[in-house]
Amino acid sequence: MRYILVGLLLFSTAINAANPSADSILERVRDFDDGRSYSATAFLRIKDKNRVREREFYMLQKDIEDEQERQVIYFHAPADVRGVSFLTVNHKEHLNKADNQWIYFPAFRKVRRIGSNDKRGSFMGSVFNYADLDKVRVTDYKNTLIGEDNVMGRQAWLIERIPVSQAVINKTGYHKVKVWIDKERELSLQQHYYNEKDIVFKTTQSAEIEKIQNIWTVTKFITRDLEKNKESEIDYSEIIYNIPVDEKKLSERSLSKKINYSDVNPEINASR
Amino acid sequence: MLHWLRCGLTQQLLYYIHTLFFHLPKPDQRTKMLIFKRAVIGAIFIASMIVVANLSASDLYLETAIASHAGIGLGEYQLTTQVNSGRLKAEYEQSTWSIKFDGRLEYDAVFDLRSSYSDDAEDEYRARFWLDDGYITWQGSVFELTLGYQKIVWGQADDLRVVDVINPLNLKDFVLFDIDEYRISLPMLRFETAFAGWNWQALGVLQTKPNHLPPQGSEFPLSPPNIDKEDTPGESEYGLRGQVFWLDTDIALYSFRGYFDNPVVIFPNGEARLTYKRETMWGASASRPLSDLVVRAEVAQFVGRSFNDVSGVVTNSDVSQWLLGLDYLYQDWLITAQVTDSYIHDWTPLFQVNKSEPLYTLSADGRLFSDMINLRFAITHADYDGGGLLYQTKLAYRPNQHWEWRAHLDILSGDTTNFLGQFRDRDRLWFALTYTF
Repeated sequence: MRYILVGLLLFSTAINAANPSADSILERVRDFDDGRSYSATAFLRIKDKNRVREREFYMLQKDIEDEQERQVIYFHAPADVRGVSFLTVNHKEHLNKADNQWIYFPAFRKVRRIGSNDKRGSFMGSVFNYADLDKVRVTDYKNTLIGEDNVMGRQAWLIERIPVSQAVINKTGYHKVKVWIDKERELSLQQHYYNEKDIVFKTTQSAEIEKIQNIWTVTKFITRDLEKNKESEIDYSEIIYNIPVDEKKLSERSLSKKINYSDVNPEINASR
Repeated sequence: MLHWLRCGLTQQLLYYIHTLFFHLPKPDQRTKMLIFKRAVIGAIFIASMIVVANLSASDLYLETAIASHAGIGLGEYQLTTQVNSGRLKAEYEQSTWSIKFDGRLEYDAVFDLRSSYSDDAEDEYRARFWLDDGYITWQGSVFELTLGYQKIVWGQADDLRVVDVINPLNLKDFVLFDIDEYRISLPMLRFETAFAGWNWQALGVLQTKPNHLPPQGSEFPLSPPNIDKEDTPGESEYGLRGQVFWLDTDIALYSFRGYFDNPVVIFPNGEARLTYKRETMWGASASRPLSDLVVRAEVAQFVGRSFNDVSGVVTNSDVSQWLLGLDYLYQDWLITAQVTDSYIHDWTPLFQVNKSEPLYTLSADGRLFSDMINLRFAITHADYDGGGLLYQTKLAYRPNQHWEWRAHLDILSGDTTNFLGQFRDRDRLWFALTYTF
């Protein structure tokens, strides 16, 4: 009897390994090891017909006591966005807490709390909205593994995601999402977003992926608005994981101060 | 370059445009020479800004811009202001210290184009230097020290002031711009640190200034008529702020000892004179999300504020002031409602001000067409002295990182005794064009 039980368990494990549930795949993507902290510089390119506008920013992120992660984004250029900065505090999904977000506009000289229930707004004028920059939230959707696919030359799980409530739709603007997850590297390769008429109106693609400090890292994201025929991309560079970041640099107070690569350079050099 | 030299001749061009539309006589030889000289100076200034813009160094950031703006009074259909300016912003950083400068030179050509403004107004506004920032910061391991001309904003309010008491305001353009555009920077020593879970800011104002009230005979005259003697606030001002994030709420406590920025009239030797009195402020502010809204609140108690009564006697009273604001974010639009009021505790009917002065604001700020267009609609209602209203539409268009076009429509209405209603015949259209190198 004991052997039969063990046999059943082994069989069950083998089945799960072959066809894991959509939730378990997405949980692995969400909990993917991206280090305790990282810093990066990035270019946001906003392409609209023949016009291309660029914004340059710096990112700093750190996990805080396994319960939350803090991220600061600081814009350096061009002049009209220089000094604009964001602080986002993401709580782990199991805590079921809304994000906390603050923004600093140099023109107003004060840090402003912003609500996190509507993330449909455009990220600095790009096709990305604020929801696109969030970490994967598994339980906001009913997730179904609908097959396997080959995308960008990689074997991928194809998962369909249906929002569990109108609040999720109001937050993201998406009525359905299809996501392709790299089977081996466990990260999202491509996403299709559907409107209320079940038509794909927007896509995102992880256009370039590199292994940095033994961590698979997306270094270029491209998003396209198929209705408005617009495209935006974020190019990351100078990515360094597991740097010792002073938490003061990830505080509300830090938003009004200029943060740049050289601020953490001594710490980066020390960690090497 | 030639294109820019031509733009440097804006003044001359505007003169002819103005002549065309407002039927002014042709300029005489002296005026032509004056305009030509200023155009040459303007061209040299622009050329120097282009040179500065092309300087580069890894730890030096330079930004230069030139701008031209014009206001048209809708009551008399007249040009009310025509300012041409050059701006320099510079930041120099080292590992433990940094310097910041942000200032502009302005020349208001309206004084060449019309003569209805007073000499006092011309003296104040024909040419002026406006400084936003000019300071040096030293960053220690646990604290930061900043010395120089600074603007420090306290509180959570938008364009309204409860605990935001540090910098005075320049009311040359009344309250028609965003408040930071007319906040006057002051020389200060500022100390910031984090301690016991709180962020602390202590500051000392080294040279105090009151609100700048435009003289009689300017576009928005606010200074009391027939009083030309004025004291300057002499002593220093001190402030302390503590900030903490607690129970999902941003909380700050404030204390400030300084001057009330509006004058009282005294009569030493029987002669009227404006003077400024010191007071103490204790305040608090908070903001937190509440469902789909963000709630902001401020309260302040001003101890020993001075007021004039109708007989000219100066009386002291404590004043309480509060503000409640709600923000609602809908996609690319931020909708904000605010209400604020003040209450003079020892008020009597002899006071020259009201016991309570409620004010309401409602605004919507939107970002459109990939952030190329910013649009703002705002209504302000001053619910006292018969009521007054300010309707504003502001449009900013940035087709690329160099050019910015702005257009504002400001409509004022209400009772002539009301703060807003007093300028009900000063509705205006305002346009600006800025080029950042």
